[in-house]
Amino acid sequence: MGRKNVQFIFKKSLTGPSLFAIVNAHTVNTNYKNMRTKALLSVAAIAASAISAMAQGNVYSLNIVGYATVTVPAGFSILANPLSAGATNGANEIGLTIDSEQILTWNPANSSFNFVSFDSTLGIGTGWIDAQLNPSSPPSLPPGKGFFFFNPGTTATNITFVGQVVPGPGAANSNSLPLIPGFSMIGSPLPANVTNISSAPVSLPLINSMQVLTWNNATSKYVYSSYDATLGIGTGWIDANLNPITAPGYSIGQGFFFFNPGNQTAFWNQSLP
Amino acid sequence: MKKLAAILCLSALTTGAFAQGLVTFLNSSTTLSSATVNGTSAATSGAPGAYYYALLLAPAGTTDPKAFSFPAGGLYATNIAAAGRFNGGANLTAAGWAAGASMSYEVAIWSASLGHDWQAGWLQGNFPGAPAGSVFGLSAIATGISGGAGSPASPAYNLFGGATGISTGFNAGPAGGGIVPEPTSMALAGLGAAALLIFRRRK
Repeated sequence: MGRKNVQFIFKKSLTGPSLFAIVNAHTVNTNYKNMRTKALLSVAAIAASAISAMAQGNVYSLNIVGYATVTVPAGFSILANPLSAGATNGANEIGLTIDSEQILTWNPANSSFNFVSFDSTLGIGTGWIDAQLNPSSPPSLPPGKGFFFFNPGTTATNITFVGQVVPGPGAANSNSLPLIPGFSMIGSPLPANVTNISSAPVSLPLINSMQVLTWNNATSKYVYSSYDATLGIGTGWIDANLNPITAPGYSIGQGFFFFNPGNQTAFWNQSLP
Repeated sequence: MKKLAAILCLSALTTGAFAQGLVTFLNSSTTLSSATVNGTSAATSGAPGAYYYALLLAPAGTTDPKAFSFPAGGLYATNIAAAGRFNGGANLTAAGWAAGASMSYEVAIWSASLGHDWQAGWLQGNFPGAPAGSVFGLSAIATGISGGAGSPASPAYNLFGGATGISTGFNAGPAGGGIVPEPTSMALAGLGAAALLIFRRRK
């Protein structure tokens, strides 16, 4: 235990088995498409053992690095990057580069989308173009930021997000995503699948009159879910006709519109279990 | 070919802007409606249909509550079982409000005793033959951008709550006494009356 200030990284290679056996032994299943809470708990267990090691006097930098493969059907889907790729988290860095793809991010100031497309065949700049076909740059898509992704193909394709789990374990093992008044396009910064979006570790806060709009790729329409405990209907979750519904679930890499009915910013706090 | 596809996509985005806008006409627990009957104000209650609500529109920036109008095919709502709450529906097509356009709006409330259809004269204080106990009122004015623009469409605009929606509750007072003034207007009128009294005494 003589190591001090050692970079202690759990990492899974994207291209094949790691060269180091110890990495495999501590690497979680980072195919987050099918990742379940149990898997996340094992991530937490690793983190806990590492934290325990820290308590014994050694100082480690803790990172959980991996990848998440999300299947996106042809047409539009709402996605959110579940991993941090670094300082910029540009779309080009997280694997979103398919010719003729489109990325639409939400601009709450004018209630419209910012349009960026990638097409290397047009010979314009780096391939990223805006709505007027002018050279543009890939949007920043940090964990927690939702966006529409247009798959230009006729069949589903896989998108692989690569990066670090946030929040990372350790002293600052919490994350707080601002929920501005009105609509914002978001996703869980913490990669996890849950059947109830307000259940841990996704833990979307419940605010009366809030709305969660997910996207139905088949019908090209939003699926409306609202929460309002003051109406006295079922568990508080209602559809567009005020009928009781079950709480929406959440899948890794999924994005959605969130409506904060208040006039103050609320916060979506998460922490590793 | 790809360029053509891109242009077609962009045209679809643009043409979407000329469709009718989408709104959600449902108030929240912090924007309750109330009614003043026999001098007592309370949250609206009763069986659905006891009170009606209409969405009135005007160009963005309009501040005169009398300058709003109810477009043909406009949106109505009615009270629901929960006190002070009303619902017209979610993702509604708002006649007279283009998708992605900015407009000012207010919501009118009236008791069923006045009938269920909007009457333009109410904004001018005309309530011919209004039965006793009838009430009428207006919400605060707000300005927002409707949803439904582009492809995929922007989400339906919430008339209540959020950064730009109506953020306060509103009251309906006795119909026939003209438009129910807002508290600030009443305060101003009170100040004016006091000033007149002082002026007359000094004379």
